Amino acid sequence: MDVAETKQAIRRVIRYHGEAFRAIGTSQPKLLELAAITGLAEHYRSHGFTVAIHNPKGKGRAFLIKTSTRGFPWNFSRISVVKGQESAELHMNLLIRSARDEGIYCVDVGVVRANSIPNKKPSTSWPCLENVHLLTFAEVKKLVVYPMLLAQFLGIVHEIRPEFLTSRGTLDPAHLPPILVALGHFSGNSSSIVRSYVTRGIFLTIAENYDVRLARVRGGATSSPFV
Amino acid sequence: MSIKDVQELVKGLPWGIAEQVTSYARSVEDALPQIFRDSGQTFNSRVADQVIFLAGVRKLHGIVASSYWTLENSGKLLESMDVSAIRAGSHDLTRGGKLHDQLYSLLKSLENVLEKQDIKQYLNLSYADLVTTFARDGRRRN
Repeated sequence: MDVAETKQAIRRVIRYHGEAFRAIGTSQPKLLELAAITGLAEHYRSHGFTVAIHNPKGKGRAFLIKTSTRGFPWNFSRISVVKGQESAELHMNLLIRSARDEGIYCVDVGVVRANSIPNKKPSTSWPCLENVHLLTFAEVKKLVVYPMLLAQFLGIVHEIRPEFLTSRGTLDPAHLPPILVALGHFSGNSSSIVRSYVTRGIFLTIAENYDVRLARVRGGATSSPFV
Repeated sequence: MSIKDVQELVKGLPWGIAEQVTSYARSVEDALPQIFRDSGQTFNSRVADQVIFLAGVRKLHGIVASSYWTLENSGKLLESMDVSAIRAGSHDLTRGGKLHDQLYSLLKSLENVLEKQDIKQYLNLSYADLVTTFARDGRRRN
Protein backbone atom coordinates (compact mmCIF):
# COMPACT_ATOMS: atom_id res chain seq x y z
CA MET A 1 0.00 0.00 0.00
CA ASP A 2 1.39 3.39 -1.02
CA VAL A 3 0.26 5.65 1.83
CA ALA A 4 1.36 8.94 0.22
CA GLU A 5 -0.34 8.22 -3.10
CA THR A 6 -3.53 6.94 -1.45
CA LYS A 7 -3.65 10.00 0.80
CA GLN A 8 -3.42 12.36 -2.18
CA ALA A 9 -6.08 10.45 -4.12
CA ILE A 10 -8.52 10.45 -1.18
CA ARG A 11 -7.88 14.14 -0.52
CA ARG A 12 -8.89 14.86 -4.12
CA VAL A 13 -12.16 13.00 -3.48
CA ILE A 14 -12.70 15.03 -0.29
CA ARG A 15 -12.15 18.31 -2.19
CA TYR A 16 -14.42 17.33 -5.08
CA HIS A 17 -17.24 16.02 -2.86
CA GLY A 18 -17.09 18.74 -0.19
CA GLU A 19 -20.85 19.39 -0.37
CA ALA A 20 -21.65 15.70 0.14
CA PHE A 21 -19.36 15.53 3.18
CA ARG A 22 -21.03 18.65 4.63
CA ALA A 23 -24.42 17.00 4.02
CA ILE A 24 -23.24 13.90 5.90
CA GLY A 25 -22.05 16.15 8.73
CA THR A 26 -25.46 17.76 9.14
CA SER A 27 -27.56 14.66 8.39
CA GLN A 28 -25.60 12.10 10.41
CA PRO A 29 -27.80 12.26 13.55
CA LYS A 30 -30.99 11.93 11.48
CA LEU A 31 -29.45 9.17 9.40
CA LEU A 32 -28.29 7.39 12.54
CA GLU A 33 -31.80 7.52 14.03
CA LEU A 34 -33.21 6.28 10.74
CA ALA A 35 -30.55 3.54 10.72
CA ALA A 36 -31.50 2.58 14.27
CA ILE A 37 -35.21 2.20 13.52
CA THR A 38 -34.67 0.38 10.22
CA GLY A 39 -31.95 -1.76 11.85
CA LEU A 40 -34.47 -2.69 14.52
CA ALA A 41 -37.05 -3.47 11.83
CA GLU A 42 -34.47 -5.77 10.19
CA HIS A 43 -33.74 -7.33 13.57
CA TYR A 44 -37.43 -8.19 14.06
CA ARG A 45 -37.72 -9.43 10.47
CA SER A 46 -34.75 -11.76 11.14
CA HIS A 47 -36.71 -13.15 14.11
CA GLY A 48 -39.70 -14.01 11.90
CA PHE A 49 -41.80 -10.90 12.55
CA THR A 50 -43.91 -9.32 9.83
CA VAL A 51 -42.82 -5.70 9.49
CA ALA A 52 -45.15 -2.96 8.20
CA ILE A 53 -45.02 0.82 7.88
CA HIS A 54 -47.88 3.05 8.95
CA ASN A 55 -47.94 6.65 7.84
CA PRO A 56 -50.17 9.32 9.36
CA LYS A 57 -53.52 9.64 7.66
CA GLY A 58 -53.79 12.42 5.12
CA LYS A 59 -50.01 12.87 4.75
CA GLY A 60 -49.57 10.76 1.61
CA ARG A 61 -47.13 7.86 1.26
CA ALA A 62 -44.07 9.68 2.62
CA PHE A 63 -42.33 8.14 5.64
CA LEU A 64 -42.20 11.04 8.08
CA ILE A 65 -39.31 10.88 10.51
CA LYS A 66 -39.76 12.48 13.92
CA THR A 67 -36.40 14.10 14.56
CA SER A 68 -37.01 15.89 17.87
CA THR A 69 -39.13 15.94 21.02
CA ARG A 70 -41.54 18.35 19.34
CA GLY A 71 -44.74 17.09 17.73
CA PHE A 72 -46.93 14.09 18.47
CA PRO A 73 -46.40 10.50 17.34
CA TRP A 74 -49.66 10.33 15.37
CA ASN A 75 -48.29 13.00 13.00
CA PHE A 76 -45.30 10.81 12.07
CA SER A 77 -44.70 7.34 10.63
CA ARG A 78 -44.41 4.24 12.78
CA ILE A 79 -43.35 0.63 12.12
CA SER A 80 -45.34 -2.33 13.37
CA VAL A 81 -43.82 -5.78 14.00
CA VAL A 82 -46.07 -8.80 14.45
CA LYS A 83 -45.40 -12.48 15.06
CA GLY A 84 -48.27 -14.61 16.32
CA GLN A 85 -49.52 -13.13 19.57
CA GLU A 86 -46.46 -10.89 19.91
CA SER A 87 -46.86 -7.43 18.43
CA ALA A 88 -45.16 -4.10 18.94
CA GLU A 89 -44.64 -0.71 17.34
CA LEU A 90 -41.47 1.27 16.74
CA HIS A 91 -41.65 5.05 17.21
CA MET A 92 -38.95 7.68 16.84
CA ASN A 93 -38.23 10.38 19.43
CA LEU A 94 -40.93 9.17 21.75
CA LEU A 95 -41.87 10.87 25.00
CA ILE A 96 -42.10 8.33 27.79
CA ARG A 97 -43.05 8.53 31.46
CA SER A 98 -40.37 7.62 33.99
CA ALA A 99 -40.67 4.26 35.72
CA ARG A 100 -39.83 6.09 38.98
CA ASP A 101 -41.79 9.33 39.12
CA GLU A 102 -43.74 11.82 37.02
CA GLY A 103 -40.69 12.69 34.93
CA ILE A 104 -40.99 12.58 31.14
CA TYR A 105 -38.07 11.52 28.94
CA CYS A 106 -37.55 11.24 25.21
CA VAL A 107 -36.10 8.04 23.78
CA ASP A 108 -34.66 8.04 20.23
CA VAL A 109 -36.50 4.84 19.27
CA GLY A 110 -39.20 3.37 21.47
CA VAL A 111 -40.47 -0.20 21.04
CA VAL A 112 -43.95 -0.14 22.54
CA ARG A 113 -46.91 -2.43 22.95
CA ALA A 114 -49.15 -2.39 19.86
CA ASN A 115 -51.94 0.20 19.91
CA SER A 116 -50.67 1.86 23.08
CA ILE A 117 -50.19 5.15 21.23
CA PRO A 118 -53.13 6.88 19.55
CA ASN A 119 -52.90 6.88 15.76
CA LYS A 120 -54.83 10.15 15.58
CA LYS A 121 -55.13 13.18 17.81
CA PRO A 122 -57.02 12.11 20.95
CA SER A 123 -59.81 14.19 22.46
CA THR A 124 -57.87 14.63 25.71
CA SER A 125 -54.28 15.81 26.02
CA TRP A 126 -51.56 13.20 25.53
CA PRO A 127 -48.39 14.23 27.39
CA CYS A 128 -46.44 11.02 26.82
CA LEU A 129 -46.59 7.23 26.71
CA GLU A 130 -47.15 5.64 30.11
CA ASN A 131 -44.16 3.57 31.15
CA VAL A 132 -46.01 0.26 31.36
CA HIS A 133 -46.41 0.24 27.56
CA LEU A 134 -42.70 0.56 26.76
CA LEU A 135 -41.05 -2.77 25.92
CA THR A 136 -37.54 -1.53 25.18
CA PHE A 137 -35.81 1.42 23.57
CA ALA A 138 -32.73 2.60 21.72
CA GLU A 139 -30.58 5.66 22.30
CA VAL A 140 -28.39 6.88 19.46
CA LYS A 141 -25.06 8.66 19.91
CA LYS A 142 -22.58 9.93 17.34
CA LEU A 143 -19.81 9.35 19.88
CA VAL A 144 -17.16 6.88 20.95
CA VAL A 145 -18.36 4.61 23.76
CA TYR A 146 -16.47 6.14 26.68
CA PRO A 147 -17.05 4.96 30.26
CA MET A 148 -19.16 7.97 31.28
CA LEU A 149 -21.42 7.46 28.26
CA LEU A 150 -22.07 3.94 29.53
CA ALA A 151 -22.75 5.34 33.01
CA GLN A 152 -25.17 7.88 31.53
CA PHE A 153 -26.95 5.17 29.57
CA LEU A 154 -27.17 3.04 32.69
CA GLY A 155 -28.76 6.04 34.43
CA ILE A 156 -31.30 6.41 31.61
CA VAL A 157 -32.20 2.72 31.87
CA HIS A 158 -32.46 3.11 35.65
CA GLU A 159 -35.13 5.78 35.17
CA ILE A 160 -36.98 4.26 32.21
CA ARG A 161 -36.69 0.45 32.25
CA PRO A 162 -34.96 -0.39 35.55
CA GLU A 163 -35.92 -4.08 35.48
CA PHE A 164 -33.20 -4.66 32.86
CA LEU A 165 -30.61 -3.77 35.48
CA THR A 166 -31.38 -6.98 37.33
CA SER A 167 -33.28 -9.30 35.00
CA ARG A 168 -34.48 -9.85 31.48
CA GLY A 169 -37.89 -10.77 32.83
CA THR A 170 -40.46 -12.53 30.68
CA LEU A 171 -40.01 -10.34 27.62
CA ASP A 172 -40.04 -12.19 24.29
CA PRO A 173 -36.38 -12.99 23.42
CA ALA A 174 -36.78 -11.13 20.11
CA HIS A 175 -36.97 -7.86 22.04
CA LEU A 176 -33.48 -6.62 22.77
CA PRO A 177 -32.57 -5.17 26.15
CA PRO A 178 -32.22 -1.35 25.97
CA ILE A 179 -29.86 -0.48 23.15
CA LEU A 180 -27.09 2.09 22.97
CA VAL A 181 -26.30 2.68 19.30
CA ALA A 182 -22.99 4.49 18.80
CA LEU A 183 -20.94 5.39 15.76
CA GLY A 184 -17.76 5.21 17.77
CA HIS A 185 -15.63 2.42 19.17
CA PHE A 186 -15.06 1.39 22.78
CA SER A 187 -12.62 3.80 24.38
CA GLY A 188 -10.65 3.46 27.59
CA ASN A 189 -11.88 0.50 29.61
CA SER A 190 -15.42 0.61 28.16
CA SER A 191 -15.27 -2.89 26.72
CA SER A 192 -14.34 -4.38 30.11
CA ILE A 193 -17.22 -2.44 31.71
CA VAL A 194 -19.63 -3.91 29.15
CA ARG A 195 -18.21 -7.39 29.77
CA SER A 196 -18.83 -6.92 33.50
CA TYR A 197 -22.55 -6.32 32.85
CA VAL A 198 -22.91 -10.02 32.12
CA THR A 199 -21.57 -11.10 35.51
CA ARG A 200 -23.48 -8.32 37.25
CA GLY A 201 -26.80 -9.47 35.72
CA ILE A 202 -27.30 -6.21 33.82
CA PHE A 203 -29.07 -6.60 30.48
CA LEU A 204 -28.13 -3.95 27.93
CA THR A 205 -27.30 -3.98 24.23
CA ILE A 206 -24.28 -1.90 23.27
CA ALA A 207 -23.99 -1.54 19.50
CA GLU A 208 -20.66 0.24 19.05
CA ASN A 209 -19.27 1.00 15.57
CA TYR A 210 -22.83 0.83 14.27
CA ASP A 211 -21.76 1.98 10.79
CA VAL A 212 -19.38 -0.95 10.52
CA ARG A 213 -22.15 -3.26 11.78
CA LEU A 214 -24.54 -1.93 9.13
CA ALA A 215 -21.92 -2.55 6.47
CA ARG A 216 -21.67 -6.14 7.73
CA VAL A 217 -25.44 -6.55 7.46
CA ARG A 218 -25.30 -5.12 3.96
CA GLY A 219 -22.56 -7.64 3.16
CA GLY A 220 -24.95 -10.40 4.19
CA ALA A 221 -22.95 -11.50 7.24
CA THR A 222 -25.99 -11.27 9.51
CA SER A 223 -29.49 -9.86 9.29
CA SER A 224 -29.42 -8.08 12.64
CA PRO A 225 -26.92 -5.29 13.27
CA PHE A 226 -27.33 -5.86 17.01
CA VAL A 227 -25.97 -9.39 17.15
CA MET B 1 4.02 5.24 15.38
CA SER B 2 2.36 8.24 13.81
CA ILE B 3 -1.17 9.40 13.20
CA LYS B 4 0.13 12.30 11.09
CA ASP B 5 -0.95 10.70 7.81
CA VAL B 6 -4.51 10.37 9.09
CA GLN B 7 -4.55 13.98 10.30
CA GLU B 8 -3.39 15.11 6.84
CA LEU B 9 -5.94 12.85 5.19
CA VAL B 10 -8.92 14.44 6.97
CA LYS B 11 -7.93 18.08 6.36
CA GLY B 12 -10.89 19.77 4.68
CA LEU B 13 -13.50 17.42 6.13
CA PRO B 14 -16.22 18.82 8.43
CA TRP B 15 -14.87 18.79 12.00
CA GLY B 16 -17.23 16.09 13.28
CA ILE B 17 -16.30 13.64 10.54
CA ALA B 18 -12.57 14.41 10.81
CA GLU B 19 -12.76 13.84 14.56
CA GLN B 20 -14.51 10.48 14.14
CA VAL B 21 -11.82 9.33 11.70
CA THR B 22 -8.82 10.45 13.77
CA SER B 23 -10.35 9.24 17.02
CA TYR B 24 -10.92 5.78 15.56
CA ALA B 25 -7.38 5.67 14.13
CA ARG B 26 -6.04 6.69 17.58
CA SER B 27 -7.96 3.84 19.20
CA VAL B 28 -6.28 1.43 16.78
CA GLU B 29 -2.92 3.08 17.48
CA ASP B 30 -3.48 2.47 21.22
CA ALA B 31 -4.30 -1.16 20.54
CA LEU B 32 -1.23 -1.81 18.35
CA PRO B 33 0.83 -3.70 20.97
CA GLN B 34 -2.02 -6.18 21.39
CA ILE B 35 -2.64 -6.34 17.62
CA PHE B 36 1.02 -7.21 16.97
CA ARG B 37 0.89 -9.82 19.75
CA ASP B 38 -2.27 -11.35 18.22
CA SER B 39 -0.59 -11.48 14.80
CA GLY B 40 2.54 -13.16 16.16
CA GLN B 41 4.71 -10.52 14.41
CA THR B 42 7.43 -8.46 16.05
CA PHE B 43 6.72 -4.73 16.20
CA ASN B 44 7.62 -2.81 13.04
CA SER B 45 7.00 0.96 12.83
CA ARG B 46 6.48 0.95 9.05
CA VAL B 47 3.75 -1.67 9.36
CA ALA B 48 2.31 0.19 12.37
CA ASP B 49 2.02 3.42 10.35
CA GLN B 50 0.31 1.55 7.51
CA VAL B 51 -2.18 -0.03 9.91
CA ILE B 52 -3.01 3.33 11.55
CA PHE B 53 -3.48 4.96 8.15
CA LEU B 54 -5.65 2.12 6.94
CA ALA B 55 -7.75 2.40 10.13
CA GLY B 56 -8.45 6.04 9.21
CA VAL B 57 -9.33 5.09 5.64
CA ARG B 58 -11.53 2.26 6.91
CA LYS B 59 -13.42 4.62 9.21
CA LEU B 60 -13.84 7.25 6.50
CA HIS B 61 -15.16 4.60 4.14
CA GLY B 62 -17.42 3.31 6.95
CA ILE B 63 -18.92 6.77 7.50
CA VAL B 64 -19.56 7.35 3.79
CA ALA B 65 -20.75 3.81 3.09
CA SER B 66 -23.02 3.62 6.13
CA SER B 67 -24.56 7.02 5.33
CA TYR B 68 -25.28 5.92 1.79
CA TRP B 69 -26.40 2.39 2.68
CA THR B 70 -28.57 3.71 5.52
CA LEU B 71 -30.47 5.79 3.01
CA GLU B 72 -30.45 3.06 0.39
CA ASN B 73 -31.47 0.22 2.71
CA SER B 74 -34.00 2.24 4.65
CA GLY B 75 -35.37 3.57 1.37
CA LYS B 76 -35.64 0.08 -0.13
CA LEU B 77 -37.26 -1.34 2.99
CA LEU B 78 -39.72 1.51 3.11
CA GLU B 79 -40.42 1.39 -0.65
CA SER B 80 -41.32 -2.28 -0.33
CA MET B 81 -43.98 -1.12 2.11
CA ASP B 82 -45.48 1.35 -0.33
CA VAL B 83 -43.62 4.39 0.96
CA SER B 84 -42.88 6.90 -1.79
CA ALA B 85 -40.57 9.29 0.06
CA ILE B 86 -38.66 9.75 3.32
CA ARG B 87 -38.74 13.15 4.97
CA ALA B 88 -37.10 14.51 8.10
CA GLY B 89 -38.56 18.00 8.46
CA SER B 90 -37.50 19.85 5.31
CA HIS B 91 -34.80 17.26 4.50
CA ASP B 92 -35.54 14.82 1.70
CA LEU B 93 -33.96 11.45 2.49
CA THR B 94 -35.65 9.61 -0.37
CA ARG B 95 -33.83 7.16 -2.63
CA GLY B 96 -33.10 9.09 -5.79
CA GLY B 97 -33.28 12.42 -3.91
CA LYS B 98 -30.43 14.94 -3.84
CA LEU B 99 -28.71 13.61 -0.72
CA HIS B 100 -28.99 10.03 -1.92
CA ASP B 101 -27.45 10.96 -5.29
CA GLN B 102 -24.64 12.95 -3.64
CA LEU B 103 -23.77 10.10 -1.32
CA TYR B 104 -23.87 7.54 -4.13
CA SER B 105 -21.48 9.63 -6.23
CA LEU B 106 -19.15 10.16 -3.26
CA LEU B 107 -19.12 6.48 -2.33
CA LYS B 108 -18.37 5.46 -5.92
CA SER B 109 -15.47 7.96 -6.15
CA LEU B 110 -14.02 6.80 -2.85
CA GLU B 111 -14.35 3.13 -3.74
CA ASN B 112 -12.73 3.77 -7.14
CA VAL B 113 -9.70 5.19 -5.34
CA LEU B 114 -9.59 2.24 -2.95
CA GLU B 115 -9.84 -0.12 -5.91
CA LYS B 116 -7.10 1.66 -7.87
CA GLN B 117 -4.81 1.74 -4.85
CA ASP B 118 -5.50 -1.96 -4.25
CA ILE B 119 -6.79 -1.24 -0.74
CA LYS B 120 -10.34 -2.57 -0.94
CA GLN B 121 -9.07 -6.08 -0.19
CA TYR B 122 -7.85 -4.86 3.21
CA LEU B 123 -11.09 -3.27 4.41
CA ASN B 124 -12.60 -6.40 5.93
CA LEU B 125 -9.43 -8.00 7.30
CA SER B 126 -8.89 -8.12 11.06
CA TYR B 127 -6.12 -5.84 12.29
CA ALA B 128 -3.98 -8.83 13.23
CA ASP B 129 -4.32 -10.15 9.67
CA LEU B 130 -3.47 -6.70 8.33
CA VAL B 131 -0.24 -6.67 10.33
CA THR B 132 0.65 -10.10 8.95
CA THR B 133 -0.16 -9.01 5.38
CA PHE B 134 1.76 -5.73 5.55
CA ALA B 135 4.75 -7.40 7.22
CA ARG B 136 4.82 -10.08 4.49
CA ASP B 137 4.50 -7.45 1.71
CA GLY B 138 7.39 -5.49 3.26
CA ARG B 139 9.62 -8.59 3.36
CA ARG B 140 8.84 -9.29 -0.31
CA ARG B 141 9.92 -5.79 -1.32
CA ASN B 142 13.20 -6.00 0.64
